[in-house]
Amino acid sequence: MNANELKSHVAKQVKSSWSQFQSHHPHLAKAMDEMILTNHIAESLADDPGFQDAIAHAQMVGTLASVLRDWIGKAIDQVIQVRVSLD
Amino acid sequence: MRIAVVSVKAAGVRWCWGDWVKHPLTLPLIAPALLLFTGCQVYVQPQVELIEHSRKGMTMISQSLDAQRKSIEEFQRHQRRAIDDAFDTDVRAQSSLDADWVIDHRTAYATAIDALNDSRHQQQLSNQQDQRTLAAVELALKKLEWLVTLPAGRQP
Repeated sequence: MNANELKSHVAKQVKSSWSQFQSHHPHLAKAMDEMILTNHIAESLADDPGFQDAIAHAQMVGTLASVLRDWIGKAIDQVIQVRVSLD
Repeated sequence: MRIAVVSVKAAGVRWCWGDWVKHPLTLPLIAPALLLFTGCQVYVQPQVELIEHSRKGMTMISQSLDAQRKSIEEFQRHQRRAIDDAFDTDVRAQSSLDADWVIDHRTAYATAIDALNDSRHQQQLSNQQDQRTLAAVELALKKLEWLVTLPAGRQP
């Protein structure tokens, strides 16, 4: 998987988590920009040997989609957690 | 005038000095060698001027890169201020501060700052590479200038 493909997967998942984050942290979300977050997460994953091993194994056994979703989901949760519900 | 006769036996044919001079291949073969060893004054000055033009072009590129770098640095400073202000604005907008919310807010803010610092670091590396490239080109131009002026015995 090349860098652009990874970035594309990350961007899709960030987009789905973004609106909830935006509703809880509107100004910070606006200042951060989805692109900054997407690039940062994609680069962190690309540098993670654990992620590289997991992807290589997933490609062999045919579970790439779910492994990607899990890893990217965890990486996004580490950055933009939303644990408080709006009143 | 007695012409020195140098005879070369090649396939039974005797050659003398006069024959070498008159041969059609002599001038194309000898002339460049003569130019190389005796110099050709008429070409040196245009070559030196061309090198000078190239040097001026490099100076303009260097100035443009410098202006671009300053513009990017100013934009990054603006981005940092925007992120800091956004953090504060969201905090002030909360009627009450929940611990989880503060931690989530701080985590996202830290990621934004890390991303900005990564971008700044990449930009610095790129700038350094540009400076190294410019220095290498300047060195190459200096060497070329020395080579060009060498046959004429002129100093640049």
